[in-house]
Amino acid sequence: MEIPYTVTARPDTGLYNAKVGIWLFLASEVMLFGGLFSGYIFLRIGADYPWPEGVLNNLLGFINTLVLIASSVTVVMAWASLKMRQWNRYVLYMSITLLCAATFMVIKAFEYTDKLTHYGLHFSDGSIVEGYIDTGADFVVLKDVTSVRFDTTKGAPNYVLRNVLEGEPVFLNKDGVEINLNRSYLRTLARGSERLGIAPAGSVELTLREPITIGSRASRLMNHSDEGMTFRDGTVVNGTLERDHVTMRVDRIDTRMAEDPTDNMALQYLGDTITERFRRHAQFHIDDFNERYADRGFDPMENAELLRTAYRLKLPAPDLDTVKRGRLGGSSGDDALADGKDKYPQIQVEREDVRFYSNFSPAYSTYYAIYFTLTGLHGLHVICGALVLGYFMVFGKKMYQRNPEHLANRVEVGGLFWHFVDLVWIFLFPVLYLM
Amino acid sequence: MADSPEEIQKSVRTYMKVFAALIVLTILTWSAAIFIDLGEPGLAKEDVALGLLIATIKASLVALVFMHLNHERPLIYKILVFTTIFVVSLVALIYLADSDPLVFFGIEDL
Repeated sequence: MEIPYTVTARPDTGLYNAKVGIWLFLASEVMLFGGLFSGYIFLRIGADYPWPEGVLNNLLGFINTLVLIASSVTVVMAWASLKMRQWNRYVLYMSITLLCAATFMVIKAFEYTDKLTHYGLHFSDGSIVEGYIDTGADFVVLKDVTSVRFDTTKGAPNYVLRNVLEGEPVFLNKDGVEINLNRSYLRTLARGSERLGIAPAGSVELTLREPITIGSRASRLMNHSDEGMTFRDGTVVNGTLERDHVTMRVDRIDTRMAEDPTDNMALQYLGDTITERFRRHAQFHIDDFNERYADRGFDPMENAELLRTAYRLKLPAPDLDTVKRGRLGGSSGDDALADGKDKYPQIQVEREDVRFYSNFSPAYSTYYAIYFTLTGLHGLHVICGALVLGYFMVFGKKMYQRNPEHLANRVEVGGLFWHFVDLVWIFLFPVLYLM
Repeated sequence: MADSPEEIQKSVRTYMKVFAALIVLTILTWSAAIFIDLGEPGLAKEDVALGLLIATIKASLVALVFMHLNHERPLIYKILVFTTIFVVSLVALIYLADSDPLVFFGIEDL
């Protein structure tokens, strides 16, 4: 069956059908992204914390903007080449378009990697340090473990068995007899046994023949104290807490949320030298602000930009004399894929001082939630658009020979989608990177 | 549509001009964000307005020239009118967060 009006225009609309179709689709897409932008504005004006400005590398964003604009031009040139019946130029322009799409996604991948390997740690007094946490650096170690209470209906206490650092986990029953914690014994424990004098119980407490040491990532624990810990599956062990801290390499201090921005936990952990440097940095910017804006009557402590500049310090901090006076902030973004992490000072934070820590994933803040949603959805559009355009390039020759106008119309429709993807990015760039 | 090769040739020149304009405007957005500080020190309403203004100009260029909205059939414009209404409503929803329905309906004394 021949699909009507793929090449010639339908008399009543004056358009070939695919064009009406793509515009209806783009209309729904506009509303999809419109809703998300609306959500962004809502989250931003309602945020109860200083909205992160300048945390993205705006040079990468700038390059990506140029890359997408270039691809937008090449896709319209590919369409024009088809209209002028120049197949080779069509393939050339289409290849450049796809290359631009790949470049965009590679840069995006670098940006995502940088965020997802970067951590923020909030102290209980509101001060924040950012940096890197190595795998295993947030271990909680419990020694002299002598008893384990676990839910027999869930099987063996695997969280304990898999996290033994020292000693051999041999369990004893009430009478001090060694037991083999195999499947059938676990079943007996769960069902209960009259002969062995075991009541059917959900949870059972077993003692260990010799004390063992166990270590676990804090994320596997429900809670823990000096006397023991509770795993996420409800298994409770007793013992003495030996190690309970997060080791972190700090590349930025942010004390805007602390009660006293110049004296707080973040600075205490980092030591006197950095505290001294931090205070000089803050004072320098406050003085600079007063000097430059004194006549305009702004209260320095009311100005979000000054607070952002004065109470945030990137480490290792450059010498103050080399700091340029000029526009506040001058948001430079984070180093993409900072290498040589050794240059950052390392701190060991006691768990009781930590309110929350996470990498810069959507769980960290509403900013990262909306950032990943907007750019992730946009990235999916780039991938899908590139697939469609790539199909028209690789498998288009046959249709071109049969009816070049048909292929030209398809490329025009695919191009309309591609321009829309570019259009979304034109707004995303200033909104996410520059504001 | 039935564009002749001569007309296409002409529009190719327009595309190149728009390409140049878009690059210039992108550089402008970027440098404006770094060097221009309107209003209160730091990011003020005026800075946001400037950034969004440039973005809107860029978006209009793409939509009008690359997406051929400068010469399109009436049906497409009709679709876009409805799209605009819905998008504006979606953004306007934010105001609901700030408004108290009891006050709105004049029954705040209840």
